[in-house]
Amino acid sequence: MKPSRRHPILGAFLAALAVLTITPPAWSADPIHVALSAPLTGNFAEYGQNFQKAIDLGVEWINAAGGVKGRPIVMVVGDSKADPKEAAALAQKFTSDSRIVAEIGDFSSTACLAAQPIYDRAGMVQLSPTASHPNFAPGSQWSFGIVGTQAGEGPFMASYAVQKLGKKRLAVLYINNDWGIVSKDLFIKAAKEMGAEVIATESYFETDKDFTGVLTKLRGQKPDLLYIPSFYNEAALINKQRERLGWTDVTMMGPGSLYSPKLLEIGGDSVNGLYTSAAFFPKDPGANVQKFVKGFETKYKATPNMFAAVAYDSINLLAFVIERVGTDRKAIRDEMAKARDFPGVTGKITFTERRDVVKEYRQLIIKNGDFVLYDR
Amino acid sequence: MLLSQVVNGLTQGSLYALVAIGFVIIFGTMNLVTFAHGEVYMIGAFVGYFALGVYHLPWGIALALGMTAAWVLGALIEKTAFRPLRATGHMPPLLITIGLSVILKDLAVIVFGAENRPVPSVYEATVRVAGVPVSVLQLVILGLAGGLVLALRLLLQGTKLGRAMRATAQDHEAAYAMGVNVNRVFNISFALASALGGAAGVMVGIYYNTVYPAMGGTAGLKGFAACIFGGLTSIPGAILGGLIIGVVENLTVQFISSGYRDVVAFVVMVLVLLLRPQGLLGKKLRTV
Amino acid sequence: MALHEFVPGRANRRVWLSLLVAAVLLPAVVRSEYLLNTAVLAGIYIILTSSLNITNGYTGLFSFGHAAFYGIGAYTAAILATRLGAGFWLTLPMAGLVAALFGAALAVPTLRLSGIFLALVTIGFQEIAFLVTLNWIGLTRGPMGIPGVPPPGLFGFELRGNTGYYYLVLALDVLTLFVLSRVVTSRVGRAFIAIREDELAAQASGIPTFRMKVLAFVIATFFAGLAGAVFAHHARFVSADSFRLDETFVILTMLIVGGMGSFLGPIIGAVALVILPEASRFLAEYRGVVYGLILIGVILFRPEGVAGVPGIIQPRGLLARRPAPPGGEEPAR
Repeated sequence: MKPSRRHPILGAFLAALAVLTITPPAWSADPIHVALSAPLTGNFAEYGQNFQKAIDLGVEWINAAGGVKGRPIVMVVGDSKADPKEAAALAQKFTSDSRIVAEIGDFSSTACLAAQPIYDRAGMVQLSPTASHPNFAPGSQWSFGIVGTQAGEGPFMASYAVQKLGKKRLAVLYINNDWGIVSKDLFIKAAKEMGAEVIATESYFETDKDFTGVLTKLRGQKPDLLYIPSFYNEAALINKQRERLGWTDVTMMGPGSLYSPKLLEIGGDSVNGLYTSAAFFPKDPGANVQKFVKGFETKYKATPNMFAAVAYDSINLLAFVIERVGTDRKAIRDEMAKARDFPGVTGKITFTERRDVVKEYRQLIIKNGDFVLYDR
Repeated sequence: MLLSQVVNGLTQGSLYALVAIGFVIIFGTMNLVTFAHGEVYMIGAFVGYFALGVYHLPWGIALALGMTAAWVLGALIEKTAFRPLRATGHMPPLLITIGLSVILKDLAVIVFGAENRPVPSVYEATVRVAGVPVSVLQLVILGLAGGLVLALRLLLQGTKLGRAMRATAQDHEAAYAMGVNVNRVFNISFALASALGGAAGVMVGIYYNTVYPAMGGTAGLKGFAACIFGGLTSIPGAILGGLIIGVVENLTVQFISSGYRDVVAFVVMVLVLLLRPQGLLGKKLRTV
Repeated sequence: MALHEFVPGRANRRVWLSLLVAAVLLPAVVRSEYLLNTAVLAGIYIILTSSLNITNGYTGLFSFGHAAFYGIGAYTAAILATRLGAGFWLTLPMAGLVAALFGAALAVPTLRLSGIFLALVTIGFQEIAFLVTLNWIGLTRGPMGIPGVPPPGLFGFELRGNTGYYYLVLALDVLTLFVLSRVVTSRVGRAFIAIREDELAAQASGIPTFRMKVLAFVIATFFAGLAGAVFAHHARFVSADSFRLDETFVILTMLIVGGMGSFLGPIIGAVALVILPEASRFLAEYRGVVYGLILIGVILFRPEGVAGVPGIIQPRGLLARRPAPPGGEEPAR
């Protein structure tokens, strides 16, 4: 016995489906499309927006100089919110769009890892400005990372803490994600090799806001230095709550992820005296660095930070590669892997056979509400 | 360090208790459960953030504004979502509050953005109480929570409205028969519970220097766990439940690991439901 | 025949077969990879809502923990595939079994609770499952999730495009719906309904109500686990925060909107609410608000949803014709 009426919702759904499938794809033979997957909203918005600003500046200059192979670059931007699921969904969208030749993104290693199988399966370059997890770039022929990995930064920070500052009793409070765990591991390994003692390690989840409990616990162990592999939000909160608990006799240090004006804004006085690092320093006198810094300041009325710098290097590197081999996705990948001494504002870019790079870092400290080079 | 953790725990626990008291009031008076309480707390927190962080009003005003916003929102929810469904049992209103919670959270993300908003610091100083370093802010929060509870008690025991609320909680049909305007009492009860939640939200924002749209989710659930732990219909139970959960959480951080802190509330809730559904101080319940 | 009485059976064989044929032909008409991906998602949700329907719709149990079992299935599949190299055809049944085991373990101590208490216990279990998953880094990689789950393979041929996944999900949907249709039209299914309508009467008439409730739970969680395996091999990345209370609310909303206690209801709800946010970017951005409003609208104006059995959510009509007694009454359960 059939139902005596078709339900209206079923009909509406079929109609909607029909409409969606008949819509023709947009066609434009001229510009070269590059995708950007980055957190433009959410807790990592600061980082993603820096990517976008720097890339827009780079694209503006590239197009003004005649484009790539005479064609302008057009960015196709997706907001991943640093959420691995969103990053994967964007990867699906980007790889099914035949106009897009390569992708820049994402910000966090976890998001990059989630999207990796999709770019790998479809065969599209995934160039992450900031993924620093040692397993990211080697995980797929199509994945590239230009910020250096924690295998380089970890020992650098350990040396800063143990050899430069002479700290012997170290504690670590790290964010419990891919990047945080690997940062902690590599820092601790290097620090121990240099003769320091790691007396406590504690972790927190990205969504945790309460650090009073864990700070009280760490305080009880009386470390000389507390190393905090975190992003700027939590680092600021950790420091504020630390101050409020009256724990002021410990040295604070964190990796280059903290090098952002937002840390100063949210952390206020509590982050004065914090030690950190950078692979990019705006006062570097190099010509390409100054051109970038001045251009960014003119356009955005703000000094670029490390995140803007690596994104700027990403688009320039990609443009350079496309100029040499054209827009075939595989050709782009192959040429990218051969990059040697590409002059980036964050240093020379040469990919190892694992498709990551070895970086040089600078030691910084926050003084009077600003980042300065540590020169003692 | 142990005493420090206890102080941490009591401070957080007092905030859980405020949320839990809200649930007790709603359930005790109206026999209903709301899943939107966490979002009301969140809206209160955001109003407090705007007052304190954006308009730089004194924190006391921010607190009052947050509580007022929560009160109004609560009254609105009761009037539009609970009242028309009053004859239908407890499930439809519950499902509606699920819908409301999803809407409020999503709207907050759309309007405010998903990122954490930094709340300026209030009371940065530290003091020593019995040799234990305690943040002045912790003392302020404890005092404030205590003050609100006392005010609540005065309201319930010493005013006509309070008597009406207690009568309605005990037997609303009898109260109606005695001339109590039960609809009004329900609305005020819900609004009052919401205001307490809003107060907790503002204070959490100040304590952790941050507010964000997702903050209501776990807070609401933990508040509910505290309410069940204490006994669904007992206000002193809710306070006790909240404080105990707060302290045990911090002891868990100290002795086990910070990752398992959040588990405490839910393990407590499940155990209570399975072993002693009436909680610490509740009366033996009729099944809902 | 009312929509909610529409169950696959000999009588309406032709209708179901033509639906099946249309579904099989879909990829020929719909060429967009992105839309096929959406169809795959809809297929996964059909399994989730139909299975939740067994406990919440047919048996009247308010389980609010479904996403946890979905997650348990997904993690089981991901762990077996990435650690032990197990193929999809092993991870799929294992996911269902492990989820069902957890379902049974949870059901036995908790099913003597009812109504809101059962709901709360299932929520508590769900949060605990989430936190344990997050902390047990050795097993689950905690907050990092498990990436690199391989796609399903068949005779050495790996599934790559969305078309392949679509047919896989379609086949699983057919299997699931077939099994569930046999269940609900059997004595077991009638027992479920009897328990929902009046548990005491059911008990009095000899139905072993406790065992039946546990059975309903086990069936529901088994299929939730299967859905989890499909998700794991499709998304190829599982992370604990896909399986929390929010996700249970999504599944529950789909079920309520589609209609509880009927066969068609969950299917309609799943398809409609997965497709809806794709229909316009506005809807996609406001997805939470849209879902919430739809849920509220349904509860207020048509609690049985599109094709559900009337009366499950509340014992009498909404916006009751007689004036509400002050403060409401005890529900008739």
